[in-house]
Amino acid sequence: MDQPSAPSKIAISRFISTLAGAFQAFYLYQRDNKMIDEITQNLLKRFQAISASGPITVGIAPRSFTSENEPVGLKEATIFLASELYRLGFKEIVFRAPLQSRLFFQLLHILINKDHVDAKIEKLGPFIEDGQEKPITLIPMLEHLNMLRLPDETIHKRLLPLLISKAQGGEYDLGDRLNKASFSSLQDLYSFLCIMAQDFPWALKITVQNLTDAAREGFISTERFFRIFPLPDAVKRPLLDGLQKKAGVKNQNWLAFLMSFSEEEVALRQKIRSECLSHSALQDLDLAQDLLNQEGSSFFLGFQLLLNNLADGQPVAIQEKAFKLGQEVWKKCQGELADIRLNAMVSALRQQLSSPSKINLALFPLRGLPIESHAFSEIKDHLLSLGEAALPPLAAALDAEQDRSMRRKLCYLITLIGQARGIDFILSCFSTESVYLLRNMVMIAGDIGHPSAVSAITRLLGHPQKTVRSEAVRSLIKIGNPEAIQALTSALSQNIDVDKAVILEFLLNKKTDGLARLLVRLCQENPSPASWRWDLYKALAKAGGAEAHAFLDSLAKKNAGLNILNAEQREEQKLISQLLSESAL
Amino acid sequence: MSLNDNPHNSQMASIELERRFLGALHTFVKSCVLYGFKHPATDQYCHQLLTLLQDIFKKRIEFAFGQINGMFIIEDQPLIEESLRYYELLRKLEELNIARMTFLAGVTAEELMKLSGLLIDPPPKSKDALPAAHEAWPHIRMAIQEETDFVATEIEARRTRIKRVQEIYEEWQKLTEEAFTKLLEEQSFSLSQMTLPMDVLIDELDRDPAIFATHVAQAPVSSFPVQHAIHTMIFSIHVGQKLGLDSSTLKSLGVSALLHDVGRFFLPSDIDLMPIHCQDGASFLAGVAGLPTMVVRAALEHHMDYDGGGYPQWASHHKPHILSQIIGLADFISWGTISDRAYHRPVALHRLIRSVLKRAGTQFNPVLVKLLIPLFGWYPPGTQVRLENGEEALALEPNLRNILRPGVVPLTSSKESQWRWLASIADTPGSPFAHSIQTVIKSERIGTDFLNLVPDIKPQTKEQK
Repeated sequence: MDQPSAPSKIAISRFISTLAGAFQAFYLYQRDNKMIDEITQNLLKRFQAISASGPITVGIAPRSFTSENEPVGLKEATIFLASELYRLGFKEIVFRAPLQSRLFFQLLHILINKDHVDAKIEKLGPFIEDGQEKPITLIPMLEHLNMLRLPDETIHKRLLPLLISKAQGGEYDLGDRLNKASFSSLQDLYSFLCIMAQDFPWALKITVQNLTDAAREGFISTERFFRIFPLPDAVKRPLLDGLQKKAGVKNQNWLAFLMSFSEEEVALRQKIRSECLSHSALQDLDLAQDLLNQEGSSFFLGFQLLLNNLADGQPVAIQEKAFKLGQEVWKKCQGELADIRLNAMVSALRQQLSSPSKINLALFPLRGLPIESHAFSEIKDHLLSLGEAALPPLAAALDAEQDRSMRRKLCYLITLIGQARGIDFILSCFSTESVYLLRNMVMIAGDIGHPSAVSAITRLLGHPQKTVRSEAVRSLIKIGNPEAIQALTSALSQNIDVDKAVILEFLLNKKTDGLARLLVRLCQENPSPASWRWDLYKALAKAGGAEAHAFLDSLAKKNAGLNILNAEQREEQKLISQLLSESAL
Repeated sequence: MSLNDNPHNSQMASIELERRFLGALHTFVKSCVLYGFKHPATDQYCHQLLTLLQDIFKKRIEFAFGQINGMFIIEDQPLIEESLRYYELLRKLEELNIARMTFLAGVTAEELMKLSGLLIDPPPKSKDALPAAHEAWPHIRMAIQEETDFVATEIEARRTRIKRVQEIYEEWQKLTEEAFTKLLEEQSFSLSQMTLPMDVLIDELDRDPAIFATHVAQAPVSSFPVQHAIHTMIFSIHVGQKLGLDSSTLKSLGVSALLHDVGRFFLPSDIDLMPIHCQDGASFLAGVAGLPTMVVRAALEHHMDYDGGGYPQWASHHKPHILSQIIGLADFISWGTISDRAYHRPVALHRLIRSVLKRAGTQFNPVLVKLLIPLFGWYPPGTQVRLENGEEALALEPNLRNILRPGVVPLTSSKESQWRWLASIADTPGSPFAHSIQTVIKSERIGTDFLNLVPDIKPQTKEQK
């Protein structure tokens, strides 16, 4: 009977392209079952065209599929499926008849899901190779082999039938064939076993091939391979003896070194892999730190690495470590300005450390710290050293802050920097729309007490929000220079809603020249409400002097002649006489 | 991964009409099957098809679509969705070997009906009938696919693969040269420009490491810094693949290996200053925007030894990063084989490998040595050997599955020589392998154009996977 001929590469190629196309189509029609049914039916038809001569094995490269080492499938279509399967750790996929369309459906459905890699692999469990013949089998790369997790005895038992000789009713007669051959190297033994395995049933063949591959590539130690694989003593002994000898004496022993893996080397191999994959910026920072402890060009390299790692967008842990290292370097280098190269780097460092994210990092521990503490003063020193560059992020933090005590700390810090570096930035904040920030900034400007702030604060006396106006008054009082007093005095006579009593009290305490005259003028305008008028009278009395006394006296006399007084007028009369009597005393 | 990654998606909109045409053609052919040719429904679908074609002809003078490997292609774009939906139509075209169908302006309903008839009920010898159809329908042209197999023979397949590797190598030479010039002149490096070629390299290297090894071993040296960078990159990525690293780590490893020796550009040709090229290169790369720190690290550490020796020597507790160790090993082999200076002549791979082995455990990580050496084999490409039967042969292609048994070409009779994989088994009792190498006669870099050796070569059975 004629053997069915092997399928042409074109047919396999078409099948693979269709499979990859179906993979993409599943993205599009996730809920459209009718379409998906049709697609899986099509796939099945393509498969039937190639399945007559036995199972189809397709290799998986990082971005493409291969059949017998040739690329198959239209690359533009297959790239997504190939890279997904490769990412999941599979090196081959085997299709064997009879195949049902629901299997394609299941496989593709799992593959398009947005699950985590581990979850996907668990779901793919029924498709993964485990020694059974399955319609669709995914063969994992060596490092992901499930087989290697089995106990040695289990695999050993699975392979034992290979050794039974034909005379004893064995089927494979590997023992006899091995005994006839003599091997001088492990590689030859591995090759021999792989070639012999071509004729074994599928499950045994895969086990033998995977096991030899794993030993060859160092996923299991050579000792373990000999423990697992049933081999005649005559084959095993010379090879094991060869491994015992010290490498380097003759070529043969170098070969033994090259071909075998000890338990330690297998462990080292695993460690190397995880070290490669765990490479992170944290390690780069360690390197930077090492370099920064050196001198000359090493130091500059460390500095540059640090600057590269300080950039935003890194994970928080890395930012924090980089920030701390940056702080240290900044502390050490900020005074040294002789070297031009160093100067440029230090200035770049300052810029980095003053970025909003870094300022936030610096502020983070502040929340729980009392202002008097040592830790607080360290943070304070750091921010002060950054100078005005730190102000914009601090202002932004202040604006966003809800906690009162934290706001107070932030205001304190901004005040300190402002005192040291000038108030230009703070004044520029006066145009902000945020009332709370504006109020804080006005307060800070007052605390700093710089005379150049007066005119800007004075303008805010007319601000629509009362909190801002009041704060402006307080700040002007705090500044208290002649311009501020002038501004406050004119505020008294203007029709604006500020706490004029506070201004009066301040002006009285200051014993401002001509205050009595101003007060008399204000009183003559018969201001309302009555309470304000009375405050003015009281202030007038306090200011004292002949002019004040004469005015109060005239008021008392003016009202004395009147008989019909309302309650308010009566009270006013009483107050004036009281004030007069007090001033007389 | 998402569908948005597909670069074709953005272009899809521009061929929207053409995609709809495929659907309409499919429906039309189907309706002909269901209702026959003289039915109002068929007429209606035919009319729709004509209207669509008229719309298409408003923007182009002719319209063509093709099929390859089970996909419809329009303007070089594979139409995945349509290929799956209109599967029956695709199958018909495949059966008739129609690779491409072109419609010219002026196509009539009658012609479409005839086309449909051909697809539904093809004449018994379609290949002969189709050219005849050409003349009958002036507005529909069909290109017939040649009846060749995917790759004609195994020899041709091998040649194709070798050519592909050569192309990739040459592309990288060009790319690296440009990148180095830009790097040195403008102090900038475009990672994004490297992404696609790097993907291709990683993919092909994973598939065919042995051909890469042979090519690297034979490639004539025209520009040392460029080729040294590429070789180091290829060897490093190979070790990375053996370790099972993910693609982003592989790419980072590749770029680091490519740039590891940039410091040499700043050196006067004086060996005493050698140790500073690491520091110089690293400092330079640290100032280039957008490079991963691994690149700087590799440039700095690639001469630091596994056991703490080497240079620069500034911190005894500092261990080179494992990726730097990989690059260091790859660098040693690449540099040793192609560096041609007053103080160093190129060493044949066969000798160099023994020198590497002596340093395993001290200068190099022994596990990395064990992972990289099989790429070249015990008898690397270019080694002249004597077989056990006295025959002299040239080792050509390493066998990654058995380092003792590479692919060889006998040197004795040139015409009859066949490529031979020594890892085949003959039925000689007592000796399972037909041939094996007994001694090395000569080991030197051969300048032969490797591809020229191939035509006469017929590989025998290789240890199959």
